[in-house]
This record gives sequence, structure tokens and C-alpha cells, in this order.
Amino acid sequence: MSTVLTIARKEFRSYFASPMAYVVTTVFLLIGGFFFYTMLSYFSRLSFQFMQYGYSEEQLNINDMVIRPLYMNLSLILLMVIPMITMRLLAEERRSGTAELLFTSPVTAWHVVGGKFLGALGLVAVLAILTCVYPLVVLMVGDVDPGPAASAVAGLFLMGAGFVAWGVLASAASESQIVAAVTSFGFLLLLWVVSWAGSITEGSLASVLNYLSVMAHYEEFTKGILDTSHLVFFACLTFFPLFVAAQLLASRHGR
Amino acid sequence: MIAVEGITKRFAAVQALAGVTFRVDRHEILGFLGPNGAGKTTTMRIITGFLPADSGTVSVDGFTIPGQSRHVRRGVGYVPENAALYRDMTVRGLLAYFAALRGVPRRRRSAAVDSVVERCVLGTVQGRVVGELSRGFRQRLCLAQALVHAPQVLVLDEPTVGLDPKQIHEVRNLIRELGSDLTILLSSHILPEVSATCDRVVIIHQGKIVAEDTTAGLAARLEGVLTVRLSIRGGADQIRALFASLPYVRVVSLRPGEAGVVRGEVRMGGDPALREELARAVLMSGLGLHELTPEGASLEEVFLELTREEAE
Repeated sequence: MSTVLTIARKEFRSYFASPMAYVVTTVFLLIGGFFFYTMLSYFSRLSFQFMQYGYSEEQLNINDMVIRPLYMNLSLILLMVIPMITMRLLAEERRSGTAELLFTSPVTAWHVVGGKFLGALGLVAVLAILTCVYPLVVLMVGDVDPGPAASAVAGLFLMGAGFVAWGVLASAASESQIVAAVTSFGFLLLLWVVSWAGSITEGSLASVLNYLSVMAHYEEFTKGILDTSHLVFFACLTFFPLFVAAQLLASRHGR
Repeated sequence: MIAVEGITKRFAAVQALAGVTFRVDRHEILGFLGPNGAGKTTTMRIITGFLPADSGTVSVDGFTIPGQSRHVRRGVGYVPENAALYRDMTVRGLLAYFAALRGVPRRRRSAAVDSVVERCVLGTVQGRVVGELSRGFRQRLCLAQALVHAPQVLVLDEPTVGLDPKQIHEVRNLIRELGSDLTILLSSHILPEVSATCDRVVIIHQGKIVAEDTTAGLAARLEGVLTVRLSIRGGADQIRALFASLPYVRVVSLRPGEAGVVRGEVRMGGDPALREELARAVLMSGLGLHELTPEGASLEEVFLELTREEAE
């Protein structure tokens, strides 16, 4: 375990040793802030209109109209950002030759995969925590239910873990960072929208496709529903690619 | 200390290693010599557990690959070709990282780093970022990372490539110093490298070991390959015709010099009787023999000869 943490710490620090972490965080928060601003302005205009026409303000729920769509959008941005965070993890080691130093050290494939995964997940955790700023702002001025907001952040992190795991696999499979980024992005996007195909098919195929949709599972988190079936889904989403990546590295280096 | 037994490795269409077998004794510096593409790096990667062999075994200090790769790796330090390092880490940070990865206990890490920093003369740059270091420093840092976990065995892949003469000298001295208490396997495609630092040489060509001997023994074994320098008074055509009639002589060069003296170099067997016979043949044909100097076969020639034979 200490070997995993050694690698994880090194990876996490190396994001902050380059502009990488700062650029990713800035872009992520900038886009998030844009969504937040537009949604909140729309909400306040709507509630102003509601008051003018004498409707009850009670019908407007800030959780449903701001927090939930905001986090759905943030999750999509995360889907685009994570392949860029993970692409270098193993591909760069292989391209630059440092893989020789890493894999001739007495580490197992799981140490490397686990360390790389946790290192990148650290940065994703930073992003997820920083998004708390949006619900907190709303909390200061309005009546937001903190439960669903908290589960939306937690869900963002869990989903991020799954995305990072696929990114680790793509980076392990390719020597090129660009190839790793494009394949993991493409795959994650497909996983995101796979339920669209579910709506035009029928029977068990449709339910499989619906089950695989990351979006559908995450949506439950934004509603504040913490169901074990969704936790299991994200656990599998995370573990499976890590397992494949570890097998890949183990066979490549004869372990 | 290191025993390589019949390892083979195939990359797609290329048979990189076709049954490589050799051993390195404890506290020995073994030179692993071969032209580019002979299989040196592949062999070293297999010994260090970076690549699996298709067949065959490697044992290092009692542990065997396949099966005990992790134990083997614990006792081996490896300096890969090109000295690739994490460019964004500091020198100390990088050494501490590898010390941790290779199981140096936390409380001894700082001392381990201090010791290799001193040994590899990195004191002046220990706080600097690796990406800013010169080639020479990076090579020494690469050596330092290979030593930080106090291994018994050091594997060096072309450790002086790309260095200037002064740096080459420093690195060689360092390797010789280390050789007193480590077992070292050092690869090179240039002979002076090996003859300057190694006790024994293994020559690899096209994935096979073609010779294995001490540096001196190898030269002696191939004494047959002798260059003889000659100065002969006479016509160049006549001399050329004479040499052509002698089956044991192969002309390397012939050029007319001053006062009708032709200078040349020939290759021939190492037996002194052959040199007597050559002298007699020159005199018998009415030419004036001014000089006949046998020059000892250099390792470079041995190497050329060995690999050429293999290619033919």
C-alpha cells in the first residue's frame, strides 16, 4: 500500500509541478461558473415573473432548477477534462523511457495502476470539492436543500473515479498521449449517451443499454438518491478498467 | 552472480535473441559488446525484469526470472540507455522517490539519498529540477538512482553515449570505483569503453553470443588476425602481384612512398613462421624489404573479425 501511495503522491505532485493542474482547474471552474451564472440568472428572472403574476414561489425549486442541471453539465465537462488529465499517466512513461525505471523497480502492476489512478483521482477530488462553491453561493442567498447538493458532489467524484480508471487503461494501452486521450474521451462519451440507443431498442438489450448509461446513474445522485445499485455501478465502472490495465502491464512486463 | 541461460526473444518478425547464455561472476565488471541492434538492450531489459523472455531463465543472486522477478529487481540497479528521468522532479525528490519504490525504509531514505548524491558528485545540483540539468549531470543522476537502494548488481546500458570526453572519463572512473564492491554488467557498441572498464567481455551479434573471454584473452585468441606494416622498395604492381600469389596474405592498403619505396598494410595469420615466409618471399622476388612490423590485434579488430565471421 505504501508503494501505491508513493506513486500516487508523485503523480499528484507532478500535476502541480506543471501548468496542467492550474489550467485544468481554471478552465473547469470557468465553464462551471458560466453555467452557474446563466442558470441562476434564469432562475431569478423566473421567480421574479412568478411573483409578478401572483404564482406561489413554492413551485420553484432551486435544487431542481439550478443545482441539478448545473451538476449534470459539470459532469459532462469532467468527462472532457479527465482524458486530458489521465492521458500522460502511463503513455508518457513509455514514450520518454522512464517506464524502464518504474517497471524495473520491485513494484507490481497493481502498485503502478493503483498509484497512477489515485494520483489522478486526487486532482479530480480537488475539482469536485471546488464545485462546492456553487451550492455554497446559493446557500448564502437562497433556500437550497444541502442533501441533494452534497450527493451531487459525491456522485461527481465517484463518476470521476470511473472516468479516471478508463483513462488509466487508455494510457496503459497506448504509447501516444493523444491516442490515449481520444480513445478514452470517445469511449466515455459513448458510455454517457448509450441510453439514447436504449430508447429506440426494446427488451433486454434496451435495459442493458440503459443500465450502462453513466448519465442515468449520475442523474439519481443529483436528485439526492443514494442507491446501492448506483454505487455498485460506479464501483464496477472503476474496477473493471483498472483490472484490465493491471493485466495489460503485467503481461507486458512478464509478471 | 548473474546467470543468463538460453534466453530467446522475438519481436514480430525479428528474432532479437536466439539463445543467449553467459554468466557474470561476483564483483566482476563484464563488458557486453555488440553492434547496434545486436540484442544488448533486449538482454538487459530481460535481466532487469522489464521485458519477459520467450524462453530461458535469468538468475541473479539466487533468484530466478521467470517467477521471482520482484526479488531479482530488488537487488538490481539499472541505468537504461538515454538516461530518461522525470524532468519535473528535483534531483533529491527523484532519488527519494526511487528509494521509496525500491523499499528503502523511510527513516533510512534521507541517508541513502545523501550517500548516492555524494558518490555520484551531485551535491551542487541536488535541489535543482531534473529537466534543467546538463547531459553529464543527468547521466550521473541516472547512475545515482540505480544505486540508491544499495543493489548488489548494476546493469548499465551504454552509460557514456552522448557525453563529452571529460564526462566519459568521469563516468568510467565512477564505474571502476563501483566495480570494487558491485557486480556490473555494462553494454557498449564501442570497444574503448569496454577495454577501459571491464575485466571480461561477452560479444553478442544478431542475438547470439559469439565470443566470451577476458579482454586480454580475447585478443590473444584471435591473434591470427594480425596487421603487418610493410615498407618495400620496388614497383607497386610487382608487389601487388607478389602478394596476390601468397594465399596467407590479404592486402589492406598499398601506396607508393618516397624514393621508390611502397608502404602498405596487410592482414595475415599470427604465426611468426608466416612472417618469416613473407620476408623470404619478398627478398626472393628481388624486392628490398625496409620494414616489417607486426601490430597486435586490437579489440576493435577482434570485434570486427568476430562479427564479420558471423555475418558471412
